Amino acid sequence: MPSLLEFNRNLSRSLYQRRRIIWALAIRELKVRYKGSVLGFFWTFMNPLLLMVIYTVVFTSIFKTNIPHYEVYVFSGILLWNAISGCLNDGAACIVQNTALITKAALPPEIFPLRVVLTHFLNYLLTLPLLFGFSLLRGLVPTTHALQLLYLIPIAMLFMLSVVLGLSVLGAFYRDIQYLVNTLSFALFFTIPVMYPMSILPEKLQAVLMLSPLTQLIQMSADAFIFGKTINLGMLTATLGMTIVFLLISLLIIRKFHTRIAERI
Amino acid sequence: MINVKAIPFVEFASPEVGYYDDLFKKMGFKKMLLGKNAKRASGEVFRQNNITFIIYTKEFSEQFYQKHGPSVPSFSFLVDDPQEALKEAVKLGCTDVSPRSYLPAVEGVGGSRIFLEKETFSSPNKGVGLKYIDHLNPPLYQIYENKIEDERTGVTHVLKNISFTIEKGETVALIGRNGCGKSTLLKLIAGIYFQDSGKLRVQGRISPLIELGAGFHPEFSGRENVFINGQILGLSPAYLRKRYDEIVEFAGIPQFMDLPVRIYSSGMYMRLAFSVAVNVDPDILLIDEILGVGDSDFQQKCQKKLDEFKIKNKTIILVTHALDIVKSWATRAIYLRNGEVVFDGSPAEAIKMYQTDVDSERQKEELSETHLPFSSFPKLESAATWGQITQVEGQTSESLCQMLELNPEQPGLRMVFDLCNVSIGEHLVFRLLNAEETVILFEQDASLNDPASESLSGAEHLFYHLECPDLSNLAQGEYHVRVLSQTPNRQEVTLLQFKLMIHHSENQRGLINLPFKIEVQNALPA
Repeated sequence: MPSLLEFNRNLSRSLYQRRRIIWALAIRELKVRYKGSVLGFFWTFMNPLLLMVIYTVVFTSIFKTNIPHYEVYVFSGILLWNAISGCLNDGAACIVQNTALITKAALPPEIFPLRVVLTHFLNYLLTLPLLFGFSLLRGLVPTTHALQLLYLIPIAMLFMLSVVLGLSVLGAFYRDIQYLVNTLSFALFFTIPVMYPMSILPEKLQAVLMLSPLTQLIQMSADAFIFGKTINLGMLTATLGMTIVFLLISLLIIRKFHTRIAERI
Repeated sequence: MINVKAIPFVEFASPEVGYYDDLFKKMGFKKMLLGKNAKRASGEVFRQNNITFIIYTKEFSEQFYQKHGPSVPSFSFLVDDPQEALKEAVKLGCTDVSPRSYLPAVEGVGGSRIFLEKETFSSPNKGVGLKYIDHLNPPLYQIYENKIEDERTGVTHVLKNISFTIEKGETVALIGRNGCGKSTLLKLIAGIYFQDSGKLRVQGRISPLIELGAGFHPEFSGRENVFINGQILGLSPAYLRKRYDEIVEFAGIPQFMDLPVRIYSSGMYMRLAFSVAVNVDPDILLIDEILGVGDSDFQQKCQKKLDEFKIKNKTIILVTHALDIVKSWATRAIYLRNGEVVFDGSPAEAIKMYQTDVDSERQKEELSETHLPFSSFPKLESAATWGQITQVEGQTSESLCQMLELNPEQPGLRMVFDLCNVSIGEHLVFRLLNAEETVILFEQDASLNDPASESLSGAEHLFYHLECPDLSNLAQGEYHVRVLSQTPNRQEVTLLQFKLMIHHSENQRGLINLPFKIEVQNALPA
C-alpha cells in the first residue's frame, strides 16, 4: 500500500485533472433538480420557509422565546442545515448511484463526493440572496460581520468534504450506511442550534453540543450573519482541526477500499 | 473479488464406479450419471429435489483423502438442510446416522455433512468403514466448480497467468466465451478494476469506450448531453463547441438535438453517443462490444472512423463476439478461456481455435446429455432371428420410453413413448442413420400438437406409438436409430438411441436389400 502522503498526492492529482468533469456534473445535478418542475428553484426554499414558519409559531407563541429576529435565525440555520444534511445523505449514496460512470466510463469514484458537496453548496449560495432579502424584509440589516461568511462557507465545504469522502466509500461497501446516515442526520438536526438558540440550553449541555463541528458551523454562521459578532477564533480552530482529523480518516478509508470500489458496486 | 454463490449438494465418494447404482435406484432417481461417465470426470453432478449430487470415483477420492487426511473411500451427503438429509438417510434404511458427523465448518458452503455408518453401506472391496473424519479441514470444492477457488473466502480469480505486451499501433481483439474474463481484462487496462497480484503498465492516454452514452441524462437535450458526455470522455468544452456541428452531422439527427434524449429511439441514442465517442483522441482506445450500432449505412461510417484511428497508428484493444470484425480488422487476437490466455497471435488462427473449442464443447454437452446407460431392454438381443439391438442409450429411462420391441420374424420394430415429459409443440423425430452417422437413411417426424393428440390432451397419459414394421430393405450391417424431440427452432434432444444390427440369412452385398429373384428359363418371356 502506498504511503498516505503519496496516496493523497495521487488522489489529489487525479481529482484535479478531472476538475472540469466534476464541475460539469455538479452543474448538471443542479439542473436536474430543477428541470421539469414549474416552480423550479422555488422549491429549494419552500421547505425551509415552511419549517421556519412552524418553528417561529411554536417557539414564539408556546415557548415564548423573545429572541430578536428569531424567524431570520431559523431560516438561515435551516438553509445551511439543508446543505449539510444533503451532503451527508447524498454522500453516502453517491458512489452507488453512479455505478455506470465508474465501471463503464472509468471515472474515479472519488469525484462523486466532491460533486455532492459542490452541488449542495452551490445550491446554498443560490439561496443566500433570498436570505438577505428576507432578513432585510424583517428589519434585520446584516452588518459587515456578515462578510465573514466568505471564508466560513469554504470552511464548511471543506469540512463536509472531509466527512463525505470517507462516507461515500463506506456507503459503497456497506449499503446500510445510507439508511444509517438518513436516520442519523435526522437525529443530528436536534443537536444543532437551528430551531433554538444555543443560549436557551443549560451551560453543561451547551459545552457538550459545541464539540460537534456541525454545531460550530451553524453557530459561527449565525454569529456572522444574525448576531453581527466576530467569529470565535477558538471555535474556528476547532472546526479546522476536526476537518483535518476527518480528512485523515477518509483518506485511510479510501486508501483501504480504493481498488475494490468498482467491483463492489 | 467476486463472490461465488455456494451450491447445496450431496457428495458421494464411490469405492468404485457403479457401486451405488442400486442405492440410487432405491432413492428413486430417474437419471443416473454413474457408469462410464463417472470415470471421465472427477465429480459428476446431477440434481434431485433441488439438491445437487456430486459423485466422484475411487481414484479421485483417494487422492482427495491423501491430501485432506487419513480416511477411506466414503459415502456422505452434503445438503442444504441436514434435517432433510437425515430423513433421506433414514428412508434409505440407515439405522445409525451419526450426529457427530455434522460439520459446521462446511455450512458456509451451503450445507452440512452427515455420513452413514459402515453397517449400512460397507464397501464390498475393503470391508472397512465409511467415515470421513476430516472435520478440521473441510475439502476445497474447486474441483467441482471451476469458479470456486477458495470456498472460505468465496474468492474467484477471473484471470490467471495473464502476460502479454501490446505495442503501439496494434489492433488487438480479445475473444472468448462469455465470462472468460475479456471485459475484466479490459477494465483492468482501463484502470477501473485493480489486479490482486501482478503488474500492469500502461503508457499513454486511454479512452475506454465500454458503454456508449455514459452520463446521458434522459431529461436533457441531445445538445446538453453531447457536452456532458464529451467531458466525461475527457474532451474539453471548447473542443466540443468546435466539433459540435460535425458531431451532429455524423449522428445524422440535427432536428432532434434540442429535444430531450428520453424521446429518442434507441437507435438515435446510440448514434449520438457513438458520434461523441469517436471524437476522443487517446493513445489507446479500448472498445467493448460497442461496434454494430445503427443501420448498415451508419455502420459503414463508424467503420471508417475506426479505420482512421488505425491509420493514425493508435493502439486499439477491442472485445467483441463479432468474429468477422476480428478477422477483418484486428492485427492480433488473444483468445481467453476460463481466465487464461490460450492463444495469442494471428486472428484467423485464434478464431479457428475458438470455434473448434466451442464446437467440441457443444458436442461434449450433447454427449453428456445423451449417453446414459440404459438397461431396460435386456431381452431384445435374443428375441429376434434377424438381428439385435445393442447399446441402448437415451435421455430418459423407462419412464419415457415405455417399450422397445423387435418383430421376431422379420426386421421391424415398435416403440412406445410416454409423452407426459415432452412439451407440446415439439416434434418427435424418428431417424435412421448409417453406422458412421454420416447419412440419414430415413427420417419421419410427427408434430406433437396435431389434432389427434390434442383431442387426447384431457387424458392423464399420452402414449406415442412409433412403428417401423419393415426394415428388410436394409442391407446387412449396423445402423443407428435415434428418436428425438425437436423444438420449433430445431434444437434436438435425443430421447432414445440405439444400435441396430441386421443380418440376413442370405449372403447379401451392397447398400440396400431389394427383393430379387433370379430364374433360369428356356424361353423368352411373353
